[in-house]
Amino acid sequence: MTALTAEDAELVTRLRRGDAAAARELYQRHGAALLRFGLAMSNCRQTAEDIVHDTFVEILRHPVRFDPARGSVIAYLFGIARHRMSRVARISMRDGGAPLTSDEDVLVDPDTGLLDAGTADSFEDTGDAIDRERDIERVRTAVFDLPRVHREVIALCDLEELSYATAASILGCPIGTIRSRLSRARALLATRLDYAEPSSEEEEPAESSNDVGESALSLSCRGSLT
Amino acid sequence: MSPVTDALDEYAESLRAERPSADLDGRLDAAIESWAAEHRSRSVLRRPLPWVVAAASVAAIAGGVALLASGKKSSDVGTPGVSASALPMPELAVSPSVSPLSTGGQVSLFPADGAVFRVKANLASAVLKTSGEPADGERQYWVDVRIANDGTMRIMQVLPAEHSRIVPRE
Repeated sequence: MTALTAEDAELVTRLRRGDAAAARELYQRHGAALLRFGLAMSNCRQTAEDIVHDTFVEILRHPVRFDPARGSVIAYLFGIARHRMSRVARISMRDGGAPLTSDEDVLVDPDTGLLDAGTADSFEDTGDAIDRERDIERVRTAVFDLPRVHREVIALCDLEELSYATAASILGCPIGTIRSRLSRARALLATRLDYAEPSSEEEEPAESSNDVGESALSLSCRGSLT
Repeated sequence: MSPVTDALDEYAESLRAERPSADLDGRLDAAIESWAAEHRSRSVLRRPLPWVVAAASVAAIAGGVALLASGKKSSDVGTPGVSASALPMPELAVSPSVSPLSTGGQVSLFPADGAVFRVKANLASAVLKTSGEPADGERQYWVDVRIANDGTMRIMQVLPAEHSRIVPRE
């Protein structure tokens, strides 16, 4: 156990005693990471923030459910967030939520199709900055269009840079599965971004029949968490 | 490094600029405050306060004594030895250590440290029986029993039912 995970575990121990300062520190430490995970998974800030909120409320209510023997606190928190995300996705599908394939509602003026002033001001007013933002937007969209199991490994391993072991702990699967999913996810991304990738990975069979169905899975900001 | 990895790095860098909004901070802060307050109230209820134990003990003793007293005064319920015999029923005696409030036959425990109850018993073959009418060869006595607030019980004195004099207990 690293010093950081030991400190996290101590914070959860303090949570069991009702220590509000420990709860705040836990949020300060991991709130942003969970938000990034939520954004990568949902492509919607409101949904991502709801996920973060619900995740911390869950650990406040049931801190005893965290078992240090089964993994780190960060893995436990991501596990809760992932579970919540799946629930939102189910609600979104049940309610027929519209696919949200890009963040245009956030970054682009719906009438003109141009970057809104606030967004544009946040970058240097150069063609390079705008090109870079468009590239990121393409990647964001491509990641969001991935099947959920592949989006998860990209979000955890490539975007959050968590170890394979931690990702395996969060997703509840062997490390080998994480590796194969990641390989498959990167290959799919390369295809969608028109990058050349080794064809052998492209031909890798899908891990489960759910992958195809879940590729249509989308989240909508209209979905509300309960 | 592959183009995909480069692209993901750029995306990751842009994501790292994301921070929870003030609205989320506020919601979490309110949730933590509410949770902490709830936890505090639960902790107070769970704490084994000495006064709770003391109050429960006093209530139990008071309840028991009240039951005994009511049983003693009632001929159809309560202490079996107290029958509706023609013998006069002595009033409830109070031990000398109780407060002056417990006088005149009133049942008042507080702040007494004990109370004395008088029950009728039959003596046969050196055994006291607290029920039934005396059989042949048996004698009836009034037995003063002192119940202290700590739960201990002592026989204070034995009074022959047919005489008014007190027989001191050895």
